[in-house]
Amino acid sequence: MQVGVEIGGTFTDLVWVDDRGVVVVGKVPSTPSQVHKAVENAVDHAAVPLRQVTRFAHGSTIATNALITRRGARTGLLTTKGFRDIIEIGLHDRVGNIYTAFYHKPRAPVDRRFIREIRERVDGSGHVVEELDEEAARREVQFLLDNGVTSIAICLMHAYRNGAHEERLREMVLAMSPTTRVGCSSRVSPEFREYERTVTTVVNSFVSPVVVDYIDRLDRGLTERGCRSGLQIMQSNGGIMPAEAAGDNAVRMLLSGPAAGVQAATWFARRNGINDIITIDMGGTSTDVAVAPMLEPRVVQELTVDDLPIRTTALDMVTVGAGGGSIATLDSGGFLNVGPASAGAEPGPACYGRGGTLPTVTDAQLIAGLLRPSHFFAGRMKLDIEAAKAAFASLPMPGELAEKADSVLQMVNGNMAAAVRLVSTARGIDPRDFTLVAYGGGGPLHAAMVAGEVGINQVLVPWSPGITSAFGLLIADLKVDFVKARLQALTDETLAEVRAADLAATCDRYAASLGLTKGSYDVQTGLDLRYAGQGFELTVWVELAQTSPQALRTVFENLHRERYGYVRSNLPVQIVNARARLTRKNELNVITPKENVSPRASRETCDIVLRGKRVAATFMARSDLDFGETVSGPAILEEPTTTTLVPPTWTARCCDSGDLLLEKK
Amino acid sequence: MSADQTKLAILANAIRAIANEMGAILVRSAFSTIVREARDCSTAILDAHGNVVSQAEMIPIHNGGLSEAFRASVAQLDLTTIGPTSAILLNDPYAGGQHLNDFIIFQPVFAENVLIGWVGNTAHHLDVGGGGAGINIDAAELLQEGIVIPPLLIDVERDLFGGAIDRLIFANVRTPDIGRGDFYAQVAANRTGIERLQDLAKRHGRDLVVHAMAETLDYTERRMRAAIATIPNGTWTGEACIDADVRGDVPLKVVATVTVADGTMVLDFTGTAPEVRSMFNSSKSSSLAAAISAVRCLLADKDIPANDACNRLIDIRLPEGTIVNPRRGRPVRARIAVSYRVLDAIHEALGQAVPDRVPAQGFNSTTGLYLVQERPNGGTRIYADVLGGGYGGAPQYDGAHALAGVLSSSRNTPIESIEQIHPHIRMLRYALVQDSCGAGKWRGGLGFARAIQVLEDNVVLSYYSEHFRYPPRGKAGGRDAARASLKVIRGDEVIDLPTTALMTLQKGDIVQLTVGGGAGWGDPAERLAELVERDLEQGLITPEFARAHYAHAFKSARVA
Repeated sequence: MQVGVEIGGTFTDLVWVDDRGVVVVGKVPSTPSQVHKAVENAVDHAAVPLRQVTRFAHGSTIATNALITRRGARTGLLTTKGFRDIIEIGLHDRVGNIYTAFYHKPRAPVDRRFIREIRERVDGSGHVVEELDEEAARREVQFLLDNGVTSIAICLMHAYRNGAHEERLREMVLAMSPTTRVGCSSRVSPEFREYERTVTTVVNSFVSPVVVDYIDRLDRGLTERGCRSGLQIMQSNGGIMPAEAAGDNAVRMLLSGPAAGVQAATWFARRNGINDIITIDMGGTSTDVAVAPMLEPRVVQELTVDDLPIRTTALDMVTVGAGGGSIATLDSGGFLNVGPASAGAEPGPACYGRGGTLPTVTDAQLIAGLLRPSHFFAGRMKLDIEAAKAAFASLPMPGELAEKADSVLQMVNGNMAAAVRLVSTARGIDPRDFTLVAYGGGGPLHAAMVAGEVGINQVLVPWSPGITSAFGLLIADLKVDFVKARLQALTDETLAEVRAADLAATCDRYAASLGLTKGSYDVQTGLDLRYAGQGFELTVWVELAQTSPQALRTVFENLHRERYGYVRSNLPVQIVNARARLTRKNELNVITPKENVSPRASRETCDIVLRGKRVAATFMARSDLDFGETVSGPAILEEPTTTTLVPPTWTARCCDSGDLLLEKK
Repeated sequence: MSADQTKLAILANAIRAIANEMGAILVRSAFSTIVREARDCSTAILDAHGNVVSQAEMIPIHNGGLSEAFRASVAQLDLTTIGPTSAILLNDPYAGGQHLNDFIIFQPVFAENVLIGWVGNTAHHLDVGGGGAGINIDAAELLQEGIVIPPLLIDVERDLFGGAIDRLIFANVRTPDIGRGDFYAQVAANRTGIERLQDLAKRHGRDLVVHAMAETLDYTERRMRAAIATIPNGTWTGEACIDADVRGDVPLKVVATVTVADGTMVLDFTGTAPEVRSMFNSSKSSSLAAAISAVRCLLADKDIPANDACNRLIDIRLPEGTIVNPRRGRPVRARIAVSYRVLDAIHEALGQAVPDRVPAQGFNSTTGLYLVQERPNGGTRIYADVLGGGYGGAPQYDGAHALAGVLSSSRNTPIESIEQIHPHIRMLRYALVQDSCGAGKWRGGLGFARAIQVLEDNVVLSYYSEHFRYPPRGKAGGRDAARASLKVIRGDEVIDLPTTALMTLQKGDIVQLTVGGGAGWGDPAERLAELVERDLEQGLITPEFARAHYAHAFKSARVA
């Protein structure tokens, strides 16, 4: 029996599969002060038979929150002499707003006085040019321990090439203080670029004790309730890893929630025979957009959290500040802006009646008639339309309230369409052959309009779109990424060296340590390649044992042409990193239940405002649409956690799977 | 704002996204560290008349420069016969360019055979020939700084990618592989811009896109006017100077008289020093960009789009024959030094109008440092560094440490990357410099130091920097910042070099560059004791510095 639990800002969602394979859902309020409590509450609430659980997959914002609020461990950093300020100097550029004389750099996650320099040096080819001064190093470590540092990051120059000095320091620290957590850059992030590697290693050390403590408590709580299976943790690459690995790899947990949603979207697309998707996940403060050609989500090798670059494999995602709580304003030039400022969950949109007075997207949806005050959240939450109107009356633009609301919704759709173009057109992908998969509280309400803007003709609204991220945990594969810097010209010899060093064997060893038998998992290998002289690389996934430099070059150049529109056939190609990915498919059989169809009488016709026009739309419960049945737009389909808009010229059909397929006529 | 206005606002966003996407392509596919890391490049969408409608946020000194270049090109070329494969190419600083290193390329955008606009970009090329690799500090005339490309109407398919123009230009360049890499990345960025703009016209109609371009400019003007209107009417004068030029030994002054009248401005540079026979002249385009950026970076509204409408309300008067508008033929390679003083002089003037909104002087300089090695087997290795310094303090703001200057946004090249590409040098240190900030109620940011050891013979050092003599000045009682320096350490010998110099190094020499911090704002005696304590704890200042400037903090029990 498998379970997935996702902790969100407001709600904790639990999904599990009973012995018939049918999904059961539980939703309880989150408990921010004692995060793990909500998981136990959800387990109790859904009456999960914990003794029968074989896999308990969990997604949590614990690592992200610890970093953003800078409430991590008291962390120290050991670095090469001369380079104490790698983090403070950072990239030395100005991101976000170049026209300012008052720039603020990202806050370092380590106190400058706990950054200690160690005499040693390795050069760019990995040769030791100065031996490690162990005596002096011991004094520096002692200084950190004396000052209450409990987690130490070690990041030395060129350690991605030769990590011996880091390993020696690690042994030294552990000999002096066995309970101190130690992280080496050559293990956490063995890639070149000292700033990014240092930040990644330091952030890992900073959040890892928090993560370990959290997992220990959760694990204990579940064990006490009889759960004997291993806890699994969601990562930003869209796969899960065993909880015991999370401490050493805490950065892999950053921003994992949206990745779980994308993973679920591919699962729903597959069961409807859909191959190429773009996902659109709209929550309260923002919308996440990702692309998965052939149902393989595109990945990137770096995340940005609170302006800090974190090197870890993550799904390629564009986030726009367009959520239900996003606030509409008029700027000094007279143009409408929506977001990124958000009313969040508290006070929330004006119509929530929790004290919010600013006009938000949810208020606009209500005024435009897309939401019905008494049907929101299955009638469990009453929306205050008068408060929404008052908020929109304060927006200083001409026109009726409904026109203003319509303008706000058009602007949001425009912003989302821009995000869709960023993950598709800007990556060399034509979105028009793709299906948009919409979920999250607000996704299904905007998806068809966004699809229309970018020329997409098909939208899939999966079963129960409000809990898609939690569902992603349930069906996620085990997926662990490995990387090792190479920085060599691409030749027969270097390719042979990469094969000999063999990250695939590392995957096998790791799989064996998890007790996985050969054949029960897959290993993919890849190389990050660039033209010698370029600063950025492209990842090429190939079977290393069976490829040649010529074949790799061809694949690389095809990708380069797709991205940048040209190739340079006379220039040498360089291997920057070798990569490997261990995947163990989750073969879980899942049936999503469908509610009974209720009498047709529940359908009503009401006016909505859409793109400046007032039209009469059919309002009905989503569950009223029978398998295979089609309804023509304009229509609004309501269900407890979301609302789906079917615009004029679109139809919605309930597929055999129970998912909803919107199609443009 | 009607529904149509919403449509226009959405289109304006889409046009801005196209400029940004062009920028991303240029940076990610470029070859030189100057473009890919320092991002010394800009991409833009222009309307059919050549007004920049949207420019990617990459580097302020290019602000407005592209339309200057476009106007000068129109004056010199017959554009009646242009087609889809036409392009305008130039680098002439006396035709709207900034210095010869900046190659500018415009390409027209046609929708259904009608010209709807242009895309364009500029990128700094590592080497453009001339009398020195990367930089020729001895140049007395423009021709000695490299190949001059006047505005040329070319055909991309015929003349580039191995065509006549391509071959001519890169036969005059020391690092042709890197140069071509960047050049083709420029063309790739334009191609993307053209496709996206055509697609936009197809989806929304040609006329609406053209209309949106015009409306974007008007909209920007409204925002700019509203922002300037927060400054009271009046006239104020400010000045600032660079240490000296290559040949002279006297400071060179920039004088700005700023007049604000109901949301409009006049910036008059009468009184500025005459042009010089060295690379320190600021070309007209650079001076204009610096002046506009100086105003923009003080405005509370930070999201005003970057386009030509920002300039409509600012009348900038640059007397010909001065260091802010030299006459044709003068060298301009290190134009950024004087461009920064244009900014400082404007800030000095506006500091009298809105003292709380103007920071103390930051290091406000770019240090360009080159280590060049002729390889025995031919070819040249050029190591180039583009560095900033500390920022000035301001009310509620302690200056940022070690950051690209306000006219720049250069990213530093990873040391691990430098040592991979240049095995003949080793970085010994890259660190903040204690006490280099100016003290104040709000202190400046720290400067930083780089120490580079050369591991082989035949390496030539050439560089320009600033504030070796005159420090960044404090405001409202804040103290000046520390000055910059460059020393070459040869065994026991320490060789002190001036603001700009050329020197042949020996194996084992250590080049130690120290750039300055930012100055302080307000009386140091008013700095909160806990802030002093924190600076001490973090090692940003020494106890001696603290006692000298913040004696009051020692009276409280918290500081030992």
